[in-house]
Amino acid sequence: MDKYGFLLVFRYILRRKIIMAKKVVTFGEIMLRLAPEGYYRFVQADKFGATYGGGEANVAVSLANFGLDAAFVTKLPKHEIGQSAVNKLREFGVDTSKITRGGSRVGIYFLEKGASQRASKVIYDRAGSSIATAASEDFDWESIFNGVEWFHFTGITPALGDNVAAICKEACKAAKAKGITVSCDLNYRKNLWSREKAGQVMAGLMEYVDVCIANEEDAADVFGIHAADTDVTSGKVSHEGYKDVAKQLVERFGFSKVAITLRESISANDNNWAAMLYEDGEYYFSKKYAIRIVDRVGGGDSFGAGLIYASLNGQDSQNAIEFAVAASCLKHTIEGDINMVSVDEVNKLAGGDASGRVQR
Amino acid sequence: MTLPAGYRGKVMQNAKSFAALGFGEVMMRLSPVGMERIAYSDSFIKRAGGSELNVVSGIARLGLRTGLISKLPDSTMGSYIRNQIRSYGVSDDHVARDTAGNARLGIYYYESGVYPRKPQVVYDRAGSSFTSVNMDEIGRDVFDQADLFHVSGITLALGEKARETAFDLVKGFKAAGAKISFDVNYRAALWSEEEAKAAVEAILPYLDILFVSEETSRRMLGRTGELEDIQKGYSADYGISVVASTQRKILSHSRHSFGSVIYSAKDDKCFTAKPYENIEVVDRIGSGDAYVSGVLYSILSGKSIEEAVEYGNAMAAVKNTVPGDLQATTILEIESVIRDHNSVGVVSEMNR
Repeated sequence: MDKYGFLLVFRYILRRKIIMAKKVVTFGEIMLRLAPEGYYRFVQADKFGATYGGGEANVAVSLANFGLDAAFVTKLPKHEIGQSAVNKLREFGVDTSKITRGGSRVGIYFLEKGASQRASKVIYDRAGSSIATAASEDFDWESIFNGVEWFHFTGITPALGDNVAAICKEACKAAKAKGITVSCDLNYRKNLWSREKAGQVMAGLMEYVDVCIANEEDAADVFGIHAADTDVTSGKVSHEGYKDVAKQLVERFGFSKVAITLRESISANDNNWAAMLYEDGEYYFSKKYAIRIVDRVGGGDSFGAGLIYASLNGQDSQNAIEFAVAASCLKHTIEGDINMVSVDEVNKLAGGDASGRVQR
Repeated sequence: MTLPAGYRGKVMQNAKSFAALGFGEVMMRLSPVGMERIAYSDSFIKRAGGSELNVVSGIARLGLRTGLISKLPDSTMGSYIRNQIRSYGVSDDHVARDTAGNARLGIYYYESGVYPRKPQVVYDRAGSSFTSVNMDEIGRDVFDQADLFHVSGITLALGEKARETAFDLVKGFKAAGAKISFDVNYRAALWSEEEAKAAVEAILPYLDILFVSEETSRRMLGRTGELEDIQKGYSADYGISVVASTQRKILSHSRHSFGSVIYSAKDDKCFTAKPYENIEVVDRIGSGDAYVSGVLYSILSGKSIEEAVEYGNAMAAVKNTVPGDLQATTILEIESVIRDHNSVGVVSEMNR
């Protein structure tokens, strides 16, 4: 090889190293979301906006927006509705090549947007979906995890059924064996399983989890770990009380990080939003934002994605929690499940500009 | 007894609450706007749809009082469908409420076709509330509430429970002196031809009015001969008084011709009429049901079989031009369409 050729190869290697985005895999269900336009109620609307979303898919989209190489793993039917879900993920830059096709239905959730004192309403119609009826053979984790640095799932995935919980465990084991960081958002859904069942199944998965993400209610719902001096329904959230929740979680399951979002609900439109990160025995609280909600579905997912991104990019604990909260803050202002924001936008907010002034 | 509003044309004495009651599932139909494809659509138009609802609604549009026997989830989505049923002029008095935790509303996605792209249906109806419907929920007091009971082969295809209940209803209404009407309406997506054949042959002995296509008669039911022989055959074998077969010619997905042949046992004769040529098809779903409603309306209002052919054809032709599953028309419009169709002089291009 002459000198010029060597330089070319060297430049190629260098560029690959810079360009090669970090690979993240998320696993779960993506559903068809059917929502009346604006604030119409279910019984009034003649038309549904059709979008696709689901905890883990939302995280994958968020990460793809941040420039990471994000793959979403699930099972979807071969028919048009299944294809629509795949199309949407592809549109947002998510790697869909690991999705298994088959089964008969795409789960549906109906969403009616609340305002002021009228709460938002969700109706699930997801039983018997392709992913809920999937089997272990549908996923080859060995190959799915090739070159992957981070694996993320939420408590919704194992809640879909014992079969899916088993698949989730296989994924966790395979990830651990490859030294992949595993994160889990507890994401308790009372429509899918009881607290007892959730506690039992989730406890079995936690030994594989490095980073635990929860909201102000999850730890109590899933593991019976309550925050002192807090009443979520009345909007009273004691930040001090959550230090103890995080500590107990780490003591019980040995997580390296615990992140807890702290939502104070003033009304369906107005929330206060902040979070805490517990790492290496230290507590890091983010700024608290007063947010006016455009669409809160996917708020927690955007937080998880922010935390994963910041962690993978080696940000320190305080900056990581600020980034995650700022990202999810922006999500609350965006219609649909997915956070369509860039790293720059998040950094700008996290860096102090919360004025909402036009940026130009 | 006072005659319910809208129910005219029948003898006042012993008048029943409903001219016709249908039995079947009502689903939520989700379809992309215009000619968009399902897989690329950002929104779905939301409507109620179901063969028997279409039929009784069509009869109601023409002025007779009708109702639907069905079962819907006792949920917000169920309420939406219930409201739609009432808005189509059909009584929901006999629609049972499913309070089970896993109650669900059947859904189907429908994409329109334009030649050479065919219309497409994706069903998502497994485990819907209707599949558990039973006589205890409906109540046996329905039997003497209608002059006519209508059901289609789609209902028979929706599982054992729905089929069993359909047969209970057919027998109960028959015993109470109501006319029994049945549309074979074979759907390959729901069951095999062998299963369908057994169920259809079991229901034939109870029927007064049968709607069956020539193609289904030959392929599924193994009937042979000319259409007239086939129709007469049903009447001879099962004592059916009226046998109707539509004749749809598909010139393209957006251009159809529609006519029909009806055999009347009383006259021992087949009747037909000039078909509607070159119908501009906006939405073909429910046009067969609209035909059934035109024929049943005519029979219920004491019209002749010749008129039944005219009303049935006109209803189907007009339905093809209306978006959605359901017929939206009036008796005045249908009668004017029939007049124009049969007139030889100049026909105005606009009603004003």
